[in-house]
Amino acid sequence: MINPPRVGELRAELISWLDVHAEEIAPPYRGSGSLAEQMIQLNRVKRLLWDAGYMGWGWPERVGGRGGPAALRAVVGEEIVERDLLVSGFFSMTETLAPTLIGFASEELAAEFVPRLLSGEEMWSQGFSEPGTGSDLASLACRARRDGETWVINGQKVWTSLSQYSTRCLLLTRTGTPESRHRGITAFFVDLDTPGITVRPLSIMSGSDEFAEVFFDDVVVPDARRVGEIDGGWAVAMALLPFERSTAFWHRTAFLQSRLQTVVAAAPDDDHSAVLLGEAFAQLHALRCRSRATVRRFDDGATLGPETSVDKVLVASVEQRIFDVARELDPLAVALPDGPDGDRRRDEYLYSRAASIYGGTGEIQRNIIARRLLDLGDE
Amino acid sequence: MDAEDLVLLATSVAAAIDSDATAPTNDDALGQLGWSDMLVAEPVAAMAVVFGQLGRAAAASTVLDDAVGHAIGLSPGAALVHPEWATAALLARGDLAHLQLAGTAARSRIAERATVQIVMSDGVATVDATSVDLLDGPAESGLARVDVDGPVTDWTSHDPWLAATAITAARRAQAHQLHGLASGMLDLATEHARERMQFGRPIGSFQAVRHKLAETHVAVEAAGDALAANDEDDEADGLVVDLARVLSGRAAQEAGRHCQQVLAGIGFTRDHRFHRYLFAAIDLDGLYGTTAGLTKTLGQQLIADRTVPRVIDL
Ligand SMILES: Cc1cc2nc3c(=O)[nH]c(=O)nc-3n(C[C@H](O)[C@H](O)[C@H](O)COP(=O)(O)OP(=O)(O)OC[C@H]3O[C@@H](n4cnc5c(N)ncnc54)[C@H](O)[C@@H]3O)c2cc1C
Repeated sequence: MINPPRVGELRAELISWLDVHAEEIAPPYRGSGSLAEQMIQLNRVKRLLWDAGYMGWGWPERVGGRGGPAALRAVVGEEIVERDLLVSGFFSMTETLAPTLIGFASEELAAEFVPRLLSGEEMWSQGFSEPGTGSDLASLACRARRDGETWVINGQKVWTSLSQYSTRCLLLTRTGTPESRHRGITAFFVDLDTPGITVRPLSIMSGSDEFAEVFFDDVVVPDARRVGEIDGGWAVAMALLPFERSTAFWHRTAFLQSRLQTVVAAAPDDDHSAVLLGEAFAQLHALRCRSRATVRRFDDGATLGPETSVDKVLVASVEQRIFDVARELDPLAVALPDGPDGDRRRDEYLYSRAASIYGGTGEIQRNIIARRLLDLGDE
Repeated sequence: MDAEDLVLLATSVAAAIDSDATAPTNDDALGQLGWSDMLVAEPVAAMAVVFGQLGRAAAASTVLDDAVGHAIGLSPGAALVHPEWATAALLARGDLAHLQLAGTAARSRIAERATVQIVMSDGVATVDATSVDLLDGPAESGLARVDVDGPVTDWTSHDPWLAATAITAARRAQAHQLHGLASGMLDLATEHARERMQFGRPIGSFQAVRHKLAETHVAVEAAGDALAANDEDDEADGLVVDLARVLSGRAAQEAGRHCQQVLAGIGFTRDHRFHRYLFAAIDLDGLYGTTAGLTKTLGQQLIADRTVPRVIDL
């Protein structure tokens, strides 16, 4: 193995690579592009980065990676996101999907499939939420029944982002009794073209069909596709969090940095704008300090726990703050946008409304902070 | 200083200062701990710990004068006249034969010294204490408005960058103190929420109360992370310090609002310690600029440059 570069070295190398390949890697559309175009671009950029060796840093060699600390992935994502080459949230899904397979699937399964995700050959989705199961994830009902060396799955998932563009889905199912809550959940890695699966796209507020409903009707999945222990799916779901809240959040700070930059570039030169921008800037700075500390702790081998709910609250509130300021300083650009860049500004403003919903709502984070960090006991 | 040393130092500072004592008593206690030497040897750590602990205990002290003085090479113990309330900038030298200006000062220190120093943008002026008129103010406040009216007895010129260093030192100290105040308020309110019973259960079991405290915790943590990032760098420039100062000021405001609400009636009395924290937070948030004013300045800079700097990197 070659020694991994240091963060600063990798950044410098990547920046010059990006400059040289600027034309090749740029999105072929202006503004948002359609969802289909965004997905093609996402996979294309991942492929180019993979072939050039950048996508492998920070991932273990046994899944095709090149090793090194997670900070390397954080910095690669940061540079990609800041240049607006793709949709940041889609890119960062890798950060949560790959580690679950690496941590919980069999070695063979991880070695076979993770490289496909990293290299942009495939996209995967995450099937956790259900019509009756949002914040209370432990109440999920989609059932998996054992049948010899296979499992038979019946039920429904909802808001399963990008399923119509995904080849596979990391799925949480109920394998215990209906009352078993977090003790009776099992995770599977399911091919979305398996007979019995129906994916129905749902339009989201900001215009695209990012969401999907996924229906399972006697879907047969081999036991070899089980991720983690039987009834051990809760641990799989929880293991996502440290990844989401380290590298993926660092990527998000880069997105927010670039959007604040856009607002600053066109802001009116008056006191009102100055106050709003100063506040947003300070909050973004706090988020970056927080997120950097979390990435470093993660790389030092610390177990990330409930304290990352603070990161989550910050990331959501900074995102909403920046887009609130954008709208306040230029309401027309959000209300009646003009041209492809205008559409993007409206879409991103709308998408920022979801920042306190996905990945655990703002209220759930505050509940966790109160109980686990402030030791306030039960409600 | 490594993390362990810092904890040790924090423990001894916390033990030395007394939240019921007067400013001169706490100043002496810090002096005996070796405050002046610490400031010379490890200014960043010394300021973080001492001002952080002063905040947590809402303890009175005038050592801010030492921190500012140290930055521009004054010997410890000097009594300073700081800029007028809510003003971020230092004044330039005026008529040295007859200096006239308004400022702010630590009441007890000014009262004890024969001469007083005024840090200005282009130098340091020394005046006799008799030229400094302390105006009345709230009895509980350690700070007072002052009017200086008299001749300069000694003048040392310096470069503007040195004056900027003094401002940065002041804001660094205040950022730690405001952060300490915010986290002290949160501790008081959290403890109260666990113990105070209403409707047959602790008020900390009500979600409205829990979320206010959680919100405060986020603000305190955010400021703490910004402070940690700025302490990492001995040479942290004004921008990094100003950002931490703004975030700490905000945390103190959030904590003041939410914790007051959770402490309710008892927190509105002078029997409860909360009022000291609130007073201190109000008092501090104006020396070398207010949180609101500094926030606006940050924004003005962004607009002037049309660029958002990446202040810290991975
Ligand atoms: C853009 C976006 C992308 C998403 N992508 C995916 C995906 O790919 N895969 C997937 O599985 N899911 C996905 N989700 C779903 C997401 O995880 C859920 O929306 C989220 O967990 C909240 O669930 P819910 O919408 O059912 O709200 P609910 O849980 O019904 O909550 C409704 C409201 O009640 C509040 N509430 C609920 N419980 C409490 C409580 N105990 N205390 C205080 N308040 C409470 C909530 O905070 C919220 O404000 C996505 C959602 C969005 C918006």
